[in-house]
Amino acid sequence: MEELLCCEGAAPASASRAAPDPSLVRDARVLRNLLAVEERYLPRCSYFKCVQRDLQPFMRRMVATWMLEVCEEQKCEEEVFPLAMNYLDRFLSVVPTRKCHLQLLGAVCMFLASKLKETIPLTAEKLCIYTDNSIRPQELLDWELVVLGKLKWNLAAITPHDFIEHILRKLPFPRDKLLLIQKHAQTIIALCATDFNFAMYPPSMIATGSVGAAVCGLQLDEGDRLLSGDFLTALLARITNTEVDCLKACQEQIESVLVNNLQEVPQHQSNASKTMDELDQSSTPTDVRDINL
Amino acid sequence: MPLSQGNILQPSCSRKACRNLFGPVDHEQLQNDFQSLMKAEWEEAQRRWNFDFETETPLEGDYRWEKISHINVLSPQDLLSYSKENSCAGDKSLSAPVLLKRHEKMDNPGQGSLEAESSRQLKRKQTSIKDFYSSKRRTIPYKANP
Repeated sequence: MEELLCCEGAAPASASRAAPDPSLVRDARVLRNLLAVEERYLPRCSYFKCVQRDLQPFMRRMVATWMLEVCEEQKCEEEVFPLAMNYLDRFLSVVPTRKCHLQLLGAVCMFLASKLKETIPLTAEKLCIYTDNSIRPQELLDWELVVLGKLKWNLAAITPHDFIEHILRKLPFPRDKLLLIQKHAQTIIALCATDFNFAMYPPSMIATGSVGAAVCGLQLDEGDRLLSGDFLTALLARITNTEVDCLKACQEQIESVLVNNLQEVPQHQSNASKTMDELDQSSTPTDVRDINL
Repeated sequence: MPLSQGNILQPSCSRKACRNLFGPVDHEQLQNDFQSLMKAEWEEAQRRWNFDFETETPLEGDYRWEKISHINVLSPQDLLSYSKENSCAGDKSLSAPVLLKRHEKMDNPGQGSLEAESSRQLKRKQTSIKDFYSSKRRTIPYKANP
């Protein structure tokens, strides 16, 4: 009798993933629509000036850094973190919030973003543990409702990640280079999300700026005059209908944030660097420290 | 058993990412803030729809609310919203099924006057209060059923 063979892998941790849908990426209408609606999901104002009394920009940075660490450790899909930051910014731009409730809010935003984007979302209990049990699961669930109400249940916000594939397919690089650019751009996008200076920028600009910074950082532009500096910026600007000067300014700002981050972290480099294996398993972007400028 | 008690997640607690960022959380204050934000939300919804969601009674305002009990005249789309309503209403509608529906739907179950509303529903697929209770701009004075 023939033996029956089961090829199904018993790996509950790795969620199955849909293949990229070419009809979504190749259709120009998709990009056009993304560009048309992206501004609807921007925070209403620069809230540290006009809404918040108890909060300061460095606190947003603290909570954002923590959220990114949680998302990386839990191997969340890469858009979960920027999406959660979008919720956080939109909430903070309408509700004055106490400093001691900011971490709860960050946890709620990750909870929602993870539920929207992931097959196996983060649980309330897990998120509470990550706050060192300073909040209770019931509080997380209560505040989930508050946040949803303030966001008017508009959760499908557009993030820079939504533009990446649309941009990359128009760049004249070989496939392996494109994958590398994508990984670096994803890291840069995460980094931008931790920095309040980028909170009011349209996602398409952050996406194009991040791709530009990734190409420069990887030094893929060298040797090919058509892909160097101004040519690349002009090409990128055309793809997302951004003004060349704005895009240039955005890319420079991204590059200076990258430089600052690289200066801050080298002492942790040895214990924080990931093995290639880990990188392959995780859909979280490349570590910031892996990028060379 | 809650996950937090399980030993699978305990090791992650010792990791660097498990930390309290801004000091102790005042749970009472958190609860108070939650209550007041939710209360404001309810009041806003009540004003907007002139409907008291707590007691499930219509109020004076722009919209006129009507009870509907005969489901056989409703389109499949309406039936869907009926079942949603029924499952959400809990034990508040124990006896006869009660559904508040827009007046024109009764007279004209076809497309007609529904167009404005249904095209809007197509554009944003989110559940809105209208999926549960449809309503109509008030044209004549209306008294809530006693």
